[in-house]
Amino acid sequence: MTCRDVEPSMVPYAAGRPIPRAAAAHIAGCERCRNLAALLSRADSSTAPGPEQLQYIKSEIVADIQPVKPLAPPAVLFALLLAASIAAAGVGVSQLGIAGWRARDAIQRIAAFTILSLGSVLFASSLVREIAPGSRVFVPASRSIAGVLAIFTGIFAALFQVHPERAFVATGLVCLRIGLECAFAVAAISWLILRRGAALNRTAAGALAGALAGISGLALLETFCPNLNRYHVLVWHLGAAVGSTIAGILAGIVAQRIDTQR
Amino acid sequence: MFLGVFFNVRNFFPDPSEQIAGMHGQGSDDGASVLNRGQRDFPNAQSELSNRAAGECAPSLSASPSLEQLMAGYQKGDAVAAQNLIDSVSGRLYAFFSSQLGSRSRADDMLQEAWLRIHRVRHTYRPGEPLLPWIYAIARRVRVDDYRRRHRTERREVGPAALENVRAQPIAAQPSTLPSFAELIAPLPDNQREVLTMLKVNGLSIEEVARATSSTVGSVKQKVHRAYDRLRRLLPQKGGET
Repeated sequence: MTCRDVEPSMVPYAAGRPIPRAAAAHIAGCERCRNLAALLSRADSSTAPGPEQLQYIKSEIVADIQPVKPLAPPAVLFALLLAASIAAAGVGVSQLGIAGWRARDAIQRIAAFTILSLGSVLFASSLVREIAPGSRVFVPASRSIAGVLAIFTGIFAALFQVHPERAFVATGLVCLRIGLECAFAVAAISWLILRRGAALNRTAAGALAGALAGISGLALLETFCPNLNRYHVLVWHLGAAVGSTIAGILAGIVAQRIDTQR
Repeated sequence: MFLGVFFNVRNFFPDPSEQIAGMHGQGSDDGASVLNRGQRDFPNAQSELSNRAAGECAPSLSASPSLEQLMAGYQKGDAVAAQNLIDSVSGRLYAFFSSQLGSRSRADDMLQEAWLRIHRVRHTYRPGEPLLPWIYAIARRVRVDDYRRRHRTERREVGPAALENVRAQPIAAQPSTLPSFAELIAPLPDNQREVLTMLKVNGLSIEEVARATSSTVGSVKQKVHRAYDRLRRLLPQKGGET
């Protein structure tokens, strides 16, 4: 057993709680680990606030105490977020049509919409956790967003060909605007759904909300836009998702700053 | 043979897990010799361990099952439950703040701010979920916000030299000649210090620390490993000084 192997046992050992025999044997024979355990046992947790201060806190809280309704269960919020994303993209598709879906081949459809679905599920579930303090985190927000956007970049680069395009910017801007409008709608509805939550890391929450909204915009663009030029898809379609994520991050930073200055 | 270690060390930590530990404890000379070696390396360890026997460990282990019930009562507007919760949790929060901030007056302010924020977002606690990660997540945010606010204010009002002095002040005078836990972990990066404090001073599990810091369990383990690694390298020096 190595010093690293006994690390999970170090705190219980220092607190006098039982640990596995092998770990105890290692600590007994390893001076550095023994010293570390002795150091940990000196952690001072005996400090306490004064009774007057506690009384003051209690009086402040009791003076304002009222029953509150706990946040809705995570599954409900998750379902609402997904429904909002699908509904916003659905409304867009009903207005703009499905020419993009028809223009794409089966592989392009399966690849793009599988990642769109998985990304939406990942971002919605992470966002629901983000607004409830102390929730379990499986994938950090930054990694999940970077991962999904990187996969999209890879898929679009691999599955779409370069085609000559006359009005690259003009047509692109139309797609970007539509994608961002859809994203904005999803972000607004998401805020309504999650407004009772307490996002302690507002930057991460903003990024996740922006990414979820952006993915919804991307889904709309992939369904209605028949332009299969690789650069069009990479710059303007994916750009809508990236732009929405950046907007979410900026909104989160501003909210965090305002919160800190209060 | 190593079960004796538990038996002997346990005598200094009469906590609620004693009954469980007692099933393992058989006692042996090996355990005593290990403890004696520990005393040789850290001569004041025994008195410090005896001090800890006053029960600092006890609340962290025994009160947790009922904290969730108190919180549920608090959410329902039960003033008695709210007051009991404040009594049960404030000590831990205060220890968290004072070991992180190095100043009791600031810890007082932080504690008050933390409770106000807990009160404001008390509806975000979901009944049935563990309470301590929820509370520490809020406390941690209070500390970070305070740090940022102060950092901004101090940058505007005083020079960098004065800032260094503020940061370098020792936590609190300890009766022991040994460096305190807080002094020894002071060189660690903020995130490693925070994780160690939550684990050791506040008695949270790795899973709870992960929830409180919005990290994954793997990430917390990594931070703990890095912190231990660095402390192991520092310890012989510190031991030499004592």
